[in-house]
Amino acid sequence: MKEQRRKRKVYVRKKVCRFCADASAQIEYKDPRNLRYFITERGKIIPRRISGNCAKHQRKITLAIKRARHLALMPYTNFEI
Amino acid sequence: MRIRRYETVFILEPDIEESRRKETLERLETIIQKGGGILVKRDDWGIRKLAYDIGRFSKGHYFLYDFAGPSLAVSEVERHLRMFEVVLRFLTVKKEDQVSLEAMEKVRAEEQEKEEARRMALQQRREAEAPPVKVEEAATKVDVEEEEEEEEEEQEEVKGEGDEESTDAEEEEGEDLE
Repeated sequence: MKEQRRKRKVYVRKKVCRFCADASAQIEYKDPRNLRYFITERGKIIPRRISGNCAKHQRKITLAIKRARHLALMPYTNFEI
Repeated sequence: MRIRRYETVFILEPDIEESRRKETLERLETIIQKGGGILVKRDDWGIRKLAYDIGRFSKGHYFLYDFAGPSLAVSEVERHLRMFEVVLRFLTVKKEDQVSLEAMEKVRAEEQEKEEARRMALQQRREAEAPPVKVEEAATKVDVEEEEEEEEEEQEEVKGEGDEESTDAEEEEGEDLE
């Protein structure tokens, strides 16, 4: 019983959307340094269930990353790692 | 006609002559005006490393134009950007859905004032605090980089002494290129 409880706790760790928590943080395609946090080393966009963003802000991040990619501010893929 | 505020970022080839770059920018500005729009702000991000190669280029010269105008102006600008051979990429984003030209005119004046003030302050600080030879070195390096970093560097200049300055600047440049 005890063990089961512990396991469940590990899975239920709740993440808070960092953009909801901090209203001053803006999502800008012109600022790849902040967007870098939301892509993997390979350059893929990190899904919401892992990054912990809310749907609204995940959409904005996705759009910003795609714009940044088009302008060669961020990579589409990265094979070097 | 509905006036909107747009923002266009475009990348020019990094190694073209100054005169050709100027000509391209001037032509774009006249296109915006002819299309019934006004240029609110022009921003030069300098030459940056691209995240991936475009054609034979691994670097590009980034520019940002903040302008207001009817949708016709945008299609004209984009048509010309497509035609210019020195343009590697461009992206236009809508910033505000409804603005008036008069209000934008005011914003432009404010932006110009800010720009002027910033330039004056920078010049004054440089003249006051750095020895003349170092000033020139710092000036050429700063020009290539972003505005944000300009400010950072200025602060470092205040704290650091002569020799450290130049190494700091080089390190920062290196980071930028990665």
